[in-house]
Amino acid sequence: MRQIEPITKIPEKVIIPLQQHVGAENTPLVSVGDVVKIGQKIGDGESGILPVHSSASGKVTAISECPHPFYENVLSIIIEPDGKDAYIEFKAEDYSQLEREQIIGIIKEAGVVESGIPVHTKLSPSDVVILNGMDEAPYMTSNRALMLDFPSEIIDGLKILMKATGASRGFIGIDASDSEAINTMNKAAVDDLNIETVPLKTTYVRGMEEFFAKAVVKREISRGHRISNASTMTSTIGTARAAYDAVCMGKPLIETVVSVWGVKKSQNVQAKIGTSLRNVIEHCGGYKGKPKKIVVNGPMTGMAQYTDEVPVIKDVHGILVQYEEDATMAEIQPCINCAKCVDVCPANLLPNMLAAFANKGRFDMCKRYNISACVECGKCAYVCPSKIPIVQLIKCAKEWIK
Amino acid sequence: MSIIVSAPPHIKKDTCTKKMVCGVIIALLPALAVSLYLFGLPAMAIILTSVLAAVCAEGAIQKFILKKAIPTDGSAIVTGLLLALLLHVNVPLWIPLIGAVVAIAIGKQAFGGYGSNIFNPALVGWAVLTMAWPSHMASAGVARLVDIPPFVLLVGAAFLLYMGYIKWQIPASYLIGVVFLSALLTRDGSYIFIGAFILGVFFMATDPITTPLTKKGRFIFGIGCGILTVIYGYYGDYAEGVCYSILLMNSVTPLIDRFMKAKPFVEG
Ligand code: SF4
Ligand code: SF4
Repeated sequence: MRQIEPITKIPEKVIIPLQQHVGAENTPLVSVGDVVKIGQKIGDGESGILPVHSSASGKVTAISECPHPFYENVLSIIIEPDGKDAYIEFKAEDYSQLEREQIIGIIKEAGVVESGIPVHTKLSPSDVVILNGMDEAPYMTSNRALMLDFPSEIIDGLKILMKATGASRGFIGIDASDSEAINTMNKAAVDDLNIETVPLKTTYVRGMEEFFAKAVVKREISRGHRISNASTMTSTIGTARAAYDAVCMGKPLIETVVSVWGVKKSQNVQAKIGTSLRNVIEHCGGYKGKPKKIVVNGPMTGMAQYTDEVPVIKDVHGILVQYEEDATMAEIQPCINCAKCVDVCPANLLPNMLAAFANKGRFDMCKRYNISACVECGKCAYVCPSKIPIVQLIKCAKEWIK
Repeated sequence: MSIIVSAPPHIKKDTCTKKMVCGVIIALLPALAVSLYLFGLPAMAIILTSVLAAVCAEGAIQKFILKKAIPTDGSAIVTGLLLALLLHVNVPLWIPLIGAVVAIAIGKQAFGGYGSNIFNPALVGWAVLTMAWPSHMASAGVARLVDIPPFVLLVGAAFLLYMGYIKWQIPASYLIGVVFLSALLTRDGSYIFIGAFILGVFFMATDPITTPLTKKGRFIFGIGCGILTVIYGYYGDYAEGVCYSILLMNSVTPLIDRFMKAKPFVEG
């Protein structure tokens, strides 16, 4: 059974923010009134900037500031689809015939981004490429869905990333309890002796590449494999798919797989960049009641939105709708020193001390307690029985220290 | 559409401090029941006095002196119960009364209340009573409320461990410390396993507020308690040894935490 359902209904309007990565905004390459095709580059800029492409064919009706899921308003290109679904010509390549630099160039031109970071900037020479196939359970399952639906594409994508970094080995870390995904990927990689799946126990969340890489490397060493833990490149399943699309299909990044939860029909969908959250939610049967909170990306680190009119952008992998009963805010109690936060912190910090110092404005002490090593994974605040907003306090302190 | 915007995480685990306190009370129930069965009405009177005094003292201090809302966390009940269990069956009822008030007023509120106290409040109450009225607190030959078959307490302890309400490193290292050292002193260790010891190891040395935060610190705390208990018990009364060693280790907890900070995973 297919895990991912593409949204085929053409929305009445598409909003494409000119900034979908960390860094400067793109300059629009089109003007109001222009007719664009699917896949056409509509925003680009100086080097270090990641181009954006149109996900619809139609007329540019406006270029103006629009809401953005992660930032405040961002200059965006608004396109009114004409329903013709006209594509630009995609130029497919055989990656085995390409040089490293050519692959990096194609990936850049396709606008591939991962957690805000343009992927081509990550492709420095490495020995090993590790794909993170772990999902932020229980609501985010887009990685799993991609592995089940597109195993061979992901293996090809991994090979492309390996070629782009010069790596000789590739690993895919998968949740050890998910035998279906492991089997699927093993089958797809059966001919590739230098690609291996790695079953892992813990769940690793966004922004924790270092932890993830360390877990994989540790396992390899424990199995007697020689692997220098010096140079590893960690990436995601979504990036491998995007790399495949970019190189083997010549298609830029104009779609993303989104896990939609808390709607009538919770599922994984493939949404065009620029469709509004509302469109996606309507495709999934709509709200189950009066929504109280709409979160983009996982429940642990995602951003709550103030409107469902924000567009899906490249880095959106999940939408979680919460209602009155699950969005209640618990009363904050004093810290009881129970150390639950300490036990879950992947960065080995003392989250409660950081929160207490941050609360008192003792940023010097925050620094002494290594606040900068916090990856803002949210685990501490999740387990805290006193419901202390630890991550929020840490984030504020970090802002101050900057 | 009225939707709210708040910071992540957007889900929270459903354990709360109230549940943890309730858990400790539930874990103490088997021991309380057996104690009531063995010692009858006097035990009942001591327990009720101690708990009521603790709860009233806490409520009164919060409301009339600090002018804050009366706390509902239930931690005063635990303090009252622990104190009662440490007392001898034949004490006059003003002993638990004074002990509980002292525990709450000096052991807890004087430090800033729930979450800020350095010493286990019940033990503070116990220590003050022991020093002020040694005749009542050290009646040789008379049983304490906690002098019940230790396995009854272990049932509750198992529950606490299973629920993850206590830091397991502390009882583990405490037990190891005691067993090791008493073996070293070539004495038969079996007599250590009395009710008061199990109560100390699983219910008092594991009080979250007054014990180390750092992982390594928890082991040091437990082993420290173990060593002190054996040494004190070697010369004096074991039950007292348990109480004093926990109090002593409470006092160095901030110090332990300061030096046992783990290395951050990634240097920032
Ligand atoms: S968010 Fe909390 S648990 Fe996660 S790294 Fe930061 S302090 Fe540690
Ligand atoms: S989990 Fe919450 S209550 Fe427990 S030590 Fe951490 S901050 Fe304090």
